[in-house]
Amino acid sequence: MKSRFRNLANYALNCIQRYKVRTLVIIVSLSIAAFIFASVSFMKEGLVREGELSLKYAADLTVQGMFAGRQSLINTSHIYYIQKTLGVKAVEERIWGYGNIGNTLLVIVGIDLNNSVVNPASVYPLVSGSFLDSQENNSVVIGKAVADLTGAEVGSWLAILTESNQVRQYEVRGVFSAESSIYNADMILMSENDARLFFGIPEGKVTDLLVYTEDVNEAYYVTQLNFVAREISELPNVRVLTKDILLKAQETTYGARSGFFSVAWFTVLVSAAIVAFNQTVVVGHESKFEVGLLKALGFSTSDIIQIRLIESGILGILAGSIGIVSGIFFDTVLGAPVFRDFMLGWAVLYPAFSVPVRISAQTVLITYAITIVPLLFATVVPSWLNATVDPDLAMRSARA
Amino acid sequence: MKLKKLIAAEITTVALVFILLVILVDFTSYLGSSNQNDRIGLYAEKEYAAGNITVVSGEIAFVRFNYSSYEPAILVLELTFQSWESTGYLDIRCNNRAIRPIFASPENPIIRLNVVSTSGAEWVEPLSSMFGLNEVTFESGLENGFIGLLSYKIKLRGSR
Repeated sequence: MKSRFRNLANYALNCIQRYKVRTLVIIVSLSIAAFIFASVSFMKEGLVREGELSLKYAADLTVQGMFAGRQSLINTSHIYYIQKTLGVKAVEERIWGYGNIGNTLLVIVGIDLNNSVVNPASVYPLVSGSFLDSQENNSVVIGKAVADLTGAEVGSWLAILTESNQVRQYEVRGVFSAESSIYNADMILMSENDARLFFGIPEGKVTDLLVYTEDVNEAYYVTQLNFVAREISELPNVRVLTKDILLKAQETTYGARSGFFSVAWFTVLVSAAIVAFNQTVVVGHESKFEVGLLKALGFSTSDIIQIRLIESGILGILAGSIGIVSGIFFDTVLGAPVFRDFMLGWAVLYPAFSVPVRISAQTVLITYAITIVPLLFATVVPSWLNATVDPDLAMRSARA
Repeated sequence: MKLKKLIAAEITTVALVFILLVILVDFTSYLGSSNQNDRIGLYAEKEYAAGNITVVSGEIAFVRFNYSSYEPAILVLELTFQSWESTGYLDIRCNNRAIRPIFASPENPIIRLNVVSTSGAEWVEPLSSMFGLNEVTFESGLENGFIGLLSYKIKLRGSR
């Protein structure tokens, strides 16, 4: 049984070598389909994982103000009520917003340096300079993309014309590390007071409130979180967001974007399957004589189908492997040009950005599945049609 | 046969008209491209002016440069203070818009200012305004004003 399979496998390998054009066409078309799928999937999983990591230090709950169904500033007077809620450890204020320089959208974030639950220096690692000093005003830490865009470096002064046409000047104290660049590359971090002046936000209002709950047993965490969220929801004109909601929003965004690629990939895969089918039919016609001869020599229909199955399996695995390796190379070494802009959705990205990539066993297995399964269907059916014909008739029609 | 000839004649006519148009555009000087491209480009920097200025109390020193592009630019000012007759504040303006005063002292002889806008109003005027002529002024206040010699470099960075 073993030697029979070995003989069939040897014959299948010979067929792969003999029908070079068919082999090449199938491998190239399937490799392209596998490459697109693998590249986008690895990048999507990497982005989702980065999202999970970034939420590691995030507050348990984020409370936003709402007005007429839209997000608005929230009153700091709510802090008193929230802090009194059972299960709440601390409440932090945060002011943030956006600013456009050219085509680049920047995020300007102001944090309360004196009453921070999490040490900001541990959340925002720096590549150069030092972190913000709570005793100093008019200083900022900038992301790598902001530094590259403006040409600012540690020690230089950043003069920004704000939305209200006021000029604000800040000393650049540090530049964020590229390790966490995906979330702070486009960020200008400053003290809450500086951010308040920058955006012209009145006293008593902030962009959102960060709520940290008491440390409890993991089993009770969700119960406590839901209880606190429900209590805070009782406040007028507020919206409560949990870490899970923020993560799901990220996943949905990346999922939707990768969905566009999935459509393109699906088109390529269908084309590849059609090409494979076509090639098998053409070669199958050419090899009718061969099939007839094999059957005359005692090969059964199942033997011939097995040969084609082995052939398809080898070609599918080879194409899948090429696609996966190309996808990894494209994402990690080349930085996924075109795909990365689409997936991240930034108006402009700076050149040295490294795309987060995660290679999971699940994606690798799915990539192999999408290259092998359609090929099996596309090759086995024509070979079965050839193999069921009478050997004498097959040889005669092939000669005709 | 007639149809073949007709198609061939049509293709030849279109090709001839196209070639004639290309020749006409190429040889007519006022139809040709100016070949001027002052676009700086994203992450790139270009020096527009450099020199020395002596700042005297109560007087305004100015530097002018031309910016002949429509791309919003980021202004980078590199100031190196050479001598201090009096340490103090120096008001810097770009196109009459104040970039806030800086304090010039021997402790900080080199100051780099990166001037950006998030408001939509631009610091550096493009070609459509004042024919691209821009002016950076240095003014020492009558009280606590810097007096001395400084060298400057005015650079622009692309934002698109």
